[in-house]
Amino acid sequence: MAISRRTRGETVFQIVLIVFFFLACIAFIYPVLNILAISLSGSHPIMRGEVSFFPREFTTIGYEGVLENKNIYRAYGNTLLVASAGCVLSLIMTGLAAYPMAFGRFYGKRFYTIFIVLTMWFQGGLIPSFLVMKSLGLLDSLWALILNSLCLAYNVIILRSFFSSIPESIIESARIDGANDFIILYKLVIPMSKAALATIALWVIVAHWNDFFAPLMYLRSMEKYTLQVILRDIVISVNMTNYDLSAEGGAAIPEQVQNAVIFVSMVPMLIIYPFLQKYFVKGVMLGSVKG
Amino acid sequence: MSVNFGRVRRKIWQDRYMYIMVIPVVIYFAIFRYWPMAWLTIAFKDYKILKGFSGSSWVGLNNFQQFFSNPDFLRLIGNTIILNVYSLMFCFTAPIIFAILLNELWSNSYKRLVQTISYLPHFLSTVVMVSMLMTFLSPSLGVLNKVMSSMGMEKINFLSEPQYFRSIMVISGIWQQVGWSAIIYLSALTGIDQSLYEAATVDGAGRFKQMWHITLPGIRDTIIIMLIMQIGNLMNVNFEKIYLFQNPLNLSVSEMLPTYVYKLGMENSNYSLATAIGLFNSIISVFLVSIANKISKKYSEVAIM
Repeated sequence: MAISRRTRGETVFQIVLIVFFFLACIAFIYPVLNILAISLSGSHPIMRGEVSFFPREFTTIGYEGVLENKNIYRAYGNTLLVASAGCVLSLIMTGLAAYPMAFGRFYGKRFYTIFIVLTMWFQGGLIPSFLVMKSLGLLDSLWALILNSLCLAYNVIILRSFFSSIPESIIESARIDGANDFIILYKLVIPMSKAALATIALWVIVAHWNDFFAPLMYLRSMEKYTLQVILRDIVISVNMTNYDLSAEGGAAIPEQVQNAVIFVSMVPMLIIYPFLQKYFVKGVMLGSVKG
Repeated sequence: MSVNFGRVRRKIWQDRYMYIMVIPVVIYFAIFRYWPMAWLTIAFKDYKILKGFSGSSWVGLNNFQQFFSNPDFLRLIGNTIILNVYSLMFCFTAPIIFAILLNELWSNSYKRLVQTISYLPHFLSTVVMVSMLMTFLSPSLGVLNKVMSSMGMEKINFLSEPQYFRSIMVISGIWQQVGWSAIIYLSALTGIDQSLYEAATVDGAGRFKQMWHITLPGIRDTIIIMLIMQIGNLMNVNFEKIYLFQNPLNLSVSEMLPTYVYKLGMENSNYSLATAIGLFNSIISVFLVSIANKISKKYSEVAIM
């Protein structure tokens, strides 16, 4: 903004804003710091409710049980598997779905587009989706989680609008050179759309990582549980004995263990947060333009 | 009108790779998106797993009648609508205000820092969010009760008192989504012609006048689009959060259509009735979206369908 003379009232307003946003930032970060602080604090300060931003009477006792617990490792592994396989397969499917929409001039394209877009506005809903998974014999399988969100109409639309920004002439000249559509997609369009694909990849990973509802519906046995399901049992239902996390016998109190589990579950999200930031923002804006 | 079949065939052959690409996608959507829609017909049946889909008898609108005559019917709809109207009032407007105020900051680096931090809650899972909320509101260890008792107020068990349920849902919703939802408005704000502000300053308009007459109209279209989408979601509550936050003490306000459908279907295996209620819910949603869309088309040029 051009430097203009600022009145006293504007300066006061600016100071108020700076303070307001400072407090807002504390409110956004505090709960996360609080989890980390409690997970690393001794039992006495926790029980007295004295832990806020920083650990008191530092100890890692809460993490010792968690990092040795095979149930948590298994759930972590399941979640990683679903998120990574889901991400790769989703990208392939979404790419295949978006390419004909962006560059195709085939008979039936209009019908095809409506066929996909319609599912954004109307869906079978909870119970019918469950019954379909059941008839396919996919209950209690991690495939149910991957297939359920393999290809979302919304992501297809986002990718299509990104593909559409690639000049048609490039595609045409590749066709004249004899390349078929798969080669054009693989060699030309995908390398040019890395940012959009990264956005969708991260969306899929975050959605799988944080998903609680689909695993709750489709999984039955503890060996298949993903992180959010056991997290719910441990933290909200306070059902720790099922996972050999009982505080009895061990020196750790439930609060230490619970907050350690929560923090461990958040680590991957915190690691990719800077990337999320960069790509997600782009993706949201992309969606807002054409969505 | 003569159709040249040879040409049509040649065109289809020319586009064969497109069709090969489209086939798996169409199969996927047919199985995982349209097959469930076919299952919606069990809303008009008395579906029994043992009898199967075709063996179960048709019962017409019986399931719907059963639901409408249920004494809980009005309460469930009421709970769903009230919470959503509150969300529309507060969770929808908060990001707009947040974005406009953020845009008023002079320092760009501070603006970016605040924005980056404000996204953080969006990436926390609902389970983590609810557990944080429970810690925060806990009567024994929670920060809020500590602050209140230090100010001489009595401790309140927020989790078991139904009258706080909606406020907790709305405030936590704002906390989690305000920064994230503001992105879209912030990007709309950057599209406003800066010379308008300069002209307004020359004309002697203050900061607030400028916000009202330039900033708000500048992002009006974005607000309308977001509003239509929000209205489309009016019947869809944040299922995970409410489900996790429910307890027997707050059920009178926290039971909503989606949670009821889930319990009826998944816990009591009453698939037909649950599907009927779900269908009822979707139909209202589609109806609301088309109305919102029509109204918006009439009063502005913006429409999403």
